[in-house]
Amino acid sequence: MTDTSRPDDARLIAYLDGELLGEERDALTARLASDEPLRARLDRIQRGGRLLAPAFEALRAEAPRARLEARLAAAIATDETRLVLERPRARAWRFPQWQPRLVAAALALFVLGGVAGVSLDGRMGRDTSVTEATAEGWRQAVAEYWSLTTPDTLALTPTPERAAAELQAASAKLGVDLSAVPDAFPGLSFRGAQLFDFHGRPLVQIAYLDPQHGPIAYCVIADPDHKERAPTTEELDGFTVVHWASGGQARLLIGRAPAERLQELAQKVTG
Amino acid sequence: MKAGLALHLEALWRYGLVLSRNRDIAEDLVQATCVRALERSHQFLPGTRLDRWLFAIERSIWINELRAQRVRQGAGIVDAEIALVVDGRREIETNILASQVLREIGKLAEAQRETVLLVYAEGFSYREAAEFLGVPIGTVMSRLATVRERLGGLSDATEGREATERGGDDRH
Repeated sequence: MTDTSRPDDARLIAYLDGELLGEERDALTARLASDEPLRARLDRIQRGGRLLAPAFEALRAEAPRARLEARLAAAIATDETRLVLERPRARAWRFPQWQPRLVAAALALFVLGGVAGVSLDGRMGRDTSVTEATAEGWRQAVAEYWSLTTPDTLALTPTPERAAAELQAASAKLGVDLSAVPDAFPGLSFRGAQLFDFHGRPLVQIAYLDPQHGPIAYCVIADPDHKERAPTTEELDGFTVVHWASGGQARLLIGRAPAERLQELAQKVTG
Repeated sequence: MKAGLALHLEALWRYGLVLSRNRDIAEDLVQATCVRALERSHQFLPGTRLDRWLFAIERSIWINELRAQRVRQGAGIVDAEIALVVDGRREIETNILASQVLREIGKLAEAQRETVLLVYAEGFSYREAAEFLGVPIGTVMSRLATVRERLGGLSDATEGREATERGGDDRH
């Protein structure tokens, strides 16, 4: 049954598939007219061929459509993350014009990347010619990134183990003990910490959900200049920001909340 | 590109299954192919066939990355023959024959399995299949001959059995 040595088979199949042309085709047609066994062989091969398309169609109908769509969604998330990480350095942190794509990417980073060591374009590195590298540029960068965050971004509460691991990694990088921050702000629900890199300076962003005002972030960045600055309120891209600096770190609270609310929260961590 | 990928997921899965004879690997192959295609979407030439471009990516991932891994893991031969068979729970009359055909295809060598899929399920001409697989046309033809020879025997057996059953009914 599996004898493949018959020299005419391949030619017969090509004939059936319309792939035999010209003289070869004519010659075979002539032989088939007078050669009964050859004709029987052709019939057999033709019957075998007819079974193939329906069988492959049945197999295709078996495809797990929903799971494959989930696989595609995962692939798209992977790709969006890659696009974020590969953005040219001059455009770093300037993504409002790319927002729809980056909302998905930011979600992917938040969900997949977790915390320890997610570097949003760490490679943009120490390029001090970039205007954002000014001492105050980090607040603008945080505001732009935070504009992608919605209550849905923060829908999940990290497990205590994960939260502890995140804070431990962030504390180590920054050289500041952040273990108490989950409970630092009464009324806010802690939703995880992320470690970033802003022009070579470690930046920790701790996310909270305020039942009344939505996402609020508490950010701490290393301040090599060791400035001292009292809490100051400003508005940035539609956000309220309260920022201050002391002891080698600059800090801020950001959210779409009234200034009084954020100033009141700031007092909890400025003592 | 994303919309195009969504249209070809099932074909990619089927090709992945025919190559790997493993449903989990077939899904992994689909995902890896999507990732690679999105990454290289700038290399796709508009006006050419997206499905063929995707098949080439999938094949390359299988050959260069997953096949070797599967061999190293000593993946079973036992499940190979039934991996292509359609789901038994939904096996209706017309699918019995499809299952037999797929079982036969599952027994073939990888090169034969993919050649028969490309030509008879995906509509490649012999020349297109030869170019895609990087082999002479004669090789494509002989691979197809092997498969159709086997299935011709299957067809004989099936028709013979049906004739016997019909004969039985007539007698009662």
